Amino acid sequence: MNFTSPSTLLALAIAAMISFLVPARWRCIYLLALSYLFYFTWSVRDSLLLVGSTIVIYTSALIIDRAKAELTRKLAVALSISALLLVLIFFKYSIVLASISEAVGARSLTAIFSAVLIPIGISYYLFKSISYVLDVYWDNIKAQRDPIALGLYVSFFPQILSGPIQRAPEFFEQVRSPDFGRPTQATFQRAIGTLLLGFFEKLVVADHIGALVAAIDASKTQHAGMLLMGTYGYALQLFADFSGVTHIAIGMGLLFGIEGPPNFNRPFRANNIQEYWRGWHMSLTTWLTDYLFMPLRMALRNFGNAGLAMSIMINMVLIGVWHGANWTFLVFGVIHGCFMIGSALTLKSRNVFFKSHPALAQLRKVYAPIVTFHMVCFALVFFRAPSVTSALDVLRGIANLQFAQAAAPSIGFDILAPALLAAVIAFELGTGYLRTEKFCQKLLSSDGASLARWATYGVATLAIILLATTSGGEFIYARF
Amino acid sequence: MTRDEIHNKLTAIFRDIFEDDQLTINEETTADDVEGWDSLTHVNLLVAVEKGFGIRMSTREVKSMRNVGDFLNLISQKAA
Repeated sequence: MNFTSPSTLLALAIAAMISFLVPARWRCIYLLALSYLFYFTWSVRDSLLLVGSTIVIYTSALIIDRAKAELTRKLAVALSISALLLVLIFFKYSIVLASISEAVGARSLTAIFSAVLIPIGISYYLFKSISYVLDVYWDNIKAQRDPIALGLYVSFFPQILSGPIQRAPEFFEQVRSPDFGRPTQATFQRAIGTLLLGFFEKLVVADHIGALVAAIDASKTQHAGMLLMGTYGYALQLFADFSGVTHIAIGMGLLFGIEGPPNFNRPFRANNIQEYWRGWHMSLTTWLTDYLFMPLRMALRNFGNAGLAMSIMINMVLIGVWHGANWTFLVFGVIHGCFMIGSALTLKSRNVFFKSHPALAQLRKVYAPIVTFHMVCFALVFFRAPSVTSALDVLRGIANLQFAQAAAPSIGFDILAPALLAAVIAFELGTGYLRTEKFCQKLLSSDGASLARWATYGVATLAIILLATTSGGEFIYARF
Repeated sequence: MTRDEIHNKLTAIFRDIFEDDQLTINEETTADDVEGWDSLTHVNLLVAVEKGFGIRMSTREVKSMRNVGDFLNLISQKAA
């Protein structure tokens, strides 16, 4: 099921309307049924895994909550988290496991690992599950006694394909609110505004830039200018695509009274790489900060800067390989690890330096976001390439500065013009210099007469349909 | 140690870590209220508190702290 297909949207509209008619005490069951139905249509076999992991975390959280002995609590948390992680590793890194078992000559295992298909959304729902168990263990929340509510948390359909990764405490708080399953008018307006923004980002902005990036890729050019355009283009496309799917997921959730966490906060205006990661895929990075980086940092806290560097590197490498079992993602993680360590260790002294050099500090305000953006683009070359060699080819092509010597592919005006315009919009959405996003959100959720508001929705929808590409690609992040 | 003594000593550690001689903290202070209090400086702060008070905190204890008040409770419990 595709989030942007007309049949999905029709089903969503019907489901949201029925939700209004469902009595309060049945809403949780109703939404769980919808979520399971959504997932079951993908694969019945994968659904068993979804339900199975829910049963595991339901039981272990109750044990953690009720156990008197610390050992029992520790055992319950260790066993359940290990089980969830093993499932994640088995499915996500089956290619690696297959090549390892092939290397050691275990043929039967190789056959098993090679046949594995990654279940949809597995990294998103398992991350939610892990954080739930740890939150109960860390006394952030009480164990959920209602299996329906917990099942809904794990499987909530707007968030299962590409996140955002919502935390259990804020989810259950919303399930308990009177707004749950039946949004107020203000929430409904925000839902529509967020959905329209998401569709615009994906269908109009990301897909038009995507067409240009794909044309450059297909030409196999070594023209430095074209390679640079492809590199910048991909960064903007990825942002618009992922921000789009996040807005669609948040908007869908709002229709049922559940607000998901944001994933982006103007990442392209970041002054350094640390700031960038605070505004990029935030629901994943904050998740990793809380459940991986902090425990790791605590364990290594007496090793000074070496402990800090190691915690950062492990964290960033895991962010990289979270995207899949490919060397390119590992390199992507290592690059960001090095950037982050360099930034974290020098930030204090840099700030002191610029404090005593006000003129240079003014200059820094201008160049810092530009430098950061280029660091991000550099790492994304590896993220995007099918192999490390082809990423190096792109970088070599750019570094060779061949403009006149290499043939530039002829890209039609029909691709180039909309893509460049879309790139400007993506840049604005990613930096927020002109506050366009806020303005549009305000416009779409204004308190004006309802007729005027519905007319705005109509015009916005029509504009999206007219401006959308005819050959929309799938969401980039649905793969991860 | 009385709670006031712990509070004063903790304030001194905060001022040192966040390099702000005017910094004041109260029971309700959270990371959002102090400039530069992020996941990186948080651990530096914990290490300084552990050294300063001669205590050892577990990840679980640290994760369940919501504000400076919780922090004070934990220290007074451990340093007793």
